[in-house]
Amino acid sequence: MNMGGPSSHRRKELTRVAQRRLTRELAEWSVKTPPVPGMSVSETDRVDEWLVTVTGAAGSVYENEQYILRFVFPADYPMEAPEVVFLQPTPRHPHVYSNGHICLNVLYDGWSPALTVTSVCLSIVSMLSSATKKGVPPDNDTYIRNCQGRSPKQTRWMFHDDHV
Amino acid sequence: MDRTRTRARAAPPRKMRIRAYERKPAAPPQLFSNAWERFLRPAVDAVHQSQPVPHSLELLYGHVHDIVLHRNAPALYDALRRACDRHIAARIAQLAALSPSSEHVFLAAVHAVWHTYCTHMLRIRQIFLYLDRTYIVHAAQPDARSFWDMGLLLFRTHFSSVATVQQNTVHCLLTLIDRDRDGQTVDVALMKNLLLMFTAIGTYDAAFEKPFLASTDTYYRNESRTLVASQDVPTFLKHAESRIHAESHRAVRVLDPSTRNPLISTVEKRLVSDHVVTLLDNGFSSMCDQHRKHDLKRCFAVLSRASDHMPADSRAPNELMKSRLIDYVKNVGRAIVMDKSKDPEMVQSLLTLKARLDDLVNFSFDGTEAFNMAVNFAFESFVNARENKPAELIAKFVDSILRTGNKGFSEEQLETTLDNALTLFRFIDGKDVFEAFYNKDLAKRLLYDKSASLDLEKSMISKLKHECGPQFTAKLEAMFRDVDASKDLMQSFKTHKLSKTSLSHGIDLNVYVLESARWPLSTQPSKVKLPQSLMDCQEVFKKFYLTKHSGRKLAWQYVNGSCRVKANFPEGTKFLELSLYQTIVMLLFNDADELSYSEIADATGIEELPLKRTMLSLACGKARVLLKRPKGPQVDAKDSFVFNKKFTHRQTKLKINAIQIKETVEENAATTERVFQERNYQIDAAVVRIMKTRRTLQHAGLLAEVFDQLRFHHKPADVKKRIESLIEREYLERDENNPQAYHYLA
Amino acid sequence: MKLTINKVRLVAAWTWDAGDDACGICRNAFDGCCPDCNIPGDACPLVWGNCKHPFHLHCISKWIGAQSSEQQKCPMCRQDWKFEARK
Repeated sequence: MNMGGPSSHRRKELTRVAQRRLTRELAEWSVKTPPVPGMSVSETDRVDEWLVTVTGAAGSVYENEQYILRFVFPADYPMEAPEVVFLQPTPRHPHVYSNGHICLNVLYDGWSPALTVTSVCLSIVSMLSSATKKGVPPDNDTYIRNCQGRSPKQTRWMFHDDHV
Repeated sequence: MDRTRTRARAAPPRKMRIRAYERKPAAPPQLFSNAWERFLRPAVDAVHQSQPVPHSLELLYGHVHDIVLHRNAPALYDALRRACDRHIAARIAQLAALSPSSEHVFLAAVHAVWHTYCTHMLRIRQIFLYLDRTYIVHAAQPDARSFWDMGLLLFRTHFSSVATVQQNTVHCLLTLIDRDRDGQTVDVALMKNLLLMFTAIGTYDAAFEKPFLASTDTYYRNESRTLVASQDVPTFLKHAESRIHAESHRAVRVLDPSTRNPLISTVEKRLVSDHVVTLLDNGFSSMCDQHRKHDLKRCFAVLSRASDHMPADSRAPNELMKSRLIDYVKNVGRAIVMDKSKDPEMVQSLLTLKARLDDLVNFSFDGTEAFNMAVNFAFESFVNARENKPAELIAKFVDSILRTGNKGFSEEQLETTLDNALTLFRFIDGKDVFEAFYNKDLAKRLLYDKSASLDLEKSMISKLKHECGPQFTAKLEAMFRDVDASKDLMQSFKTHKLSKTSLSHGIDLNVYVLESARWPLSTQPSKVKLPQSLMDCQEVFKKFYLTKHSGRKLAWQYVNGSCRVKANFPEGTKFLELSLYQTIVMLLFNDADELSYSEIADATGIEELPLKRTMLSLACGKARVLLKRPKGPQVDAKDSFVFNKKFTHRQTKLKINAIQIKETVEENAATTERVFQERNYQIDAAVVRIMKTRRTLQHAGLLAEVFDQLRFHHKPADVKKRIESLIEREYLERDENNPQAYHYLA
Repeated sequence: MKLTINKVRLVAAWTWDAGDDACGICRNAFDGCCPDCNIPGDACPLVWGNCKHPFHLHCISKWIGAQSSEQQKCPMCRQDWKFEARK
């Protein structure tokens, strides 16, 4: 499966607002003092794409496991949610499809401009922690077949199950 | 005309028959030699000797006619030619024998020969008219197309070939012209006639013009060499101008018209072009300095004429003058700008200088745009030679105009002065410094009602807007809005029930509420303690304000407050205009007659520096409402102060709050500091902007791009400091291997 | 009384009163303006929701304007967004 570039087409130049906001957020992720222990950010060669390493919470089934999230920011971030996916290898979790797509309300309809990269990462780690055992979503194969490399933001998500 | 005649016979109607001659008619023998020797040659000789012709002209004409008819024209022409030739040869020989030592005599003789010759030849032509018309004109003689032509040719042959005659003539002419140049009287008509002769015989160009130009060249080469060394520049220029004029006149009066241009250009070359640099070196800046408008105008006119004859490696005279002007303005301007002791007069001096130079360019340099630009260029260069100070002083100058107290000037005069100040402002690189000081001064004018005229204020704002765009003035305009809005606000406060509280204290309360980011205000919270009555007023207003504008908070700027206080001195009641600080201090004396400095400091909470200044104004100024113990011109922490019970003043109302309006050293420093802070932000922003697009850059490359973006003067060291700071704040990082290269991080 | 005040002129500078917080949308401090503005103050006003959350007017308008009417929620607390009525 091709997990290359984000499936949204050509990326537009970030607005001034988005640039300032991201600059500010990045400043919070200063190397010396990451906002959350066990998390670190590395920018790719573009401002509008970040890779964030997250660590499974202590006491969860993902304890000490490290996964990489890829954030792609839309031009009018934070008015629109970033596209967030796990890069391979993805955690095996009932809300994480094996192509990296994450079924999490705040990434789609539940997005609020008050959310930040930090708060999104915390939500995802907390979502991981809520699983009692590892395992892919039951409709994993169907989803991946239908999704055909599109962005998760183009999926119509049904969030009937906020708790695993 | 056919001279044969048909014989008419009577007896018509018989047929007529024309019979040919039985033998061909022939000319009488010796027709030509007879006629020539007996009649024509004596006639020619007589004419040449200015004697009456022995035979009638009709008879002579008839002989010529006959000779030509009988095909003897060539022989006749030849004979005539030789006869004339002999005569003129003899005449020229006489001239050759004449000494040219007296030019006038010699030239008069030449002219006499020429003039007589011409007269004679005209008479001879009348006799030989038939030959001239039928033979000379048609026979296509190689060198003469008419009898007259032949005459000129003969004259020229002898005049030119007998070397000394023509040479002597030219030499005499040149001597006379030089004498004329030296101011002696010469016979202009004679010269003119002789030059016409040269033109007539066709030797003007070669025999006269060439040596004439050469002698002109020598004459002026020598003259200018001496004069440039001995005369001052204005005198020399005057001389050169009159020379050019005189030569031009000579060309019209005496010379062939074709000589005018080469003559004038020779004069210009030798008198002007050769000396442009020397003239400018010796006289230009002093003429500027002494404002010799007319001399400079002449200089411009005369030197401009030299443009076409400058040596190939030299710049055009206009260019040279322009760069001299720039040098001059730079020197004078720099002297004004750099002399710190003359800072108070700097702006006025610059305005005077500018006005003077504008006048100079307009009058002396024909208002040429290039010279205007040269002046502007020089101003721009020297005004910015000293950083920041000129901008600050221009702002203060404008403040002094806009502030009350310019009595005796009309609004138009003030407008004009503002316009002039604005032209100086235009030259300034660091417009931000001007803006900061203008901002601060405007704040004072508005807060202390010191503005002379609202119209003038508005007009200045619109000038600035026009000059720098609306962004530049947005802040200033907002300040006016705040003041207006505050007045409206007080109107509605006074009708509001809350205002009763302040009224109960008998205090007329006025508040200016300002938008904090647009005013140059202190951001530090004040520890000053207000007297209760004022505290009540303040609080009640705050309550009122917040009902109108929720979501806001107010920071009180006590340092800018002011009061009118009724003071009951034993000697009489006075109404004092005080600053708020002065009021707070004075009110302490309601409960005491004497207070120590430290008691006052504790009770008021005013910081040391402003408090000392306040005490100084109350106890050591002109109107001393307090008395200091011990006396002295300075305030010390150990001093104490007594209410001045003996205070008197001829006025009932008096101001003691002048110190508020005066600018303090710290204020000045703070204003400058704000500018520098803002510049640092701008440098930061520029660096980040550049690095964001370039990702990686070498130090030098970055500096160059920053330089392009910034509109104020900055040192590379300043930028380097900002880069260090950005590295610290993790916007940039240094390349691990190359400390001269930076990478963009955020 | 030796001295009484007849008249006083006070000077006050106003700023938005939203604590030391930053705008939840643009993350700029409330004593500054939104990223689209240059000078804080009247030109870049703050507004509060009924939920008492303040935002730059420019920021919240952009967000609310992009949502369908039933989706208009406070970005901070997800309560339905209503501008608090203030003067």
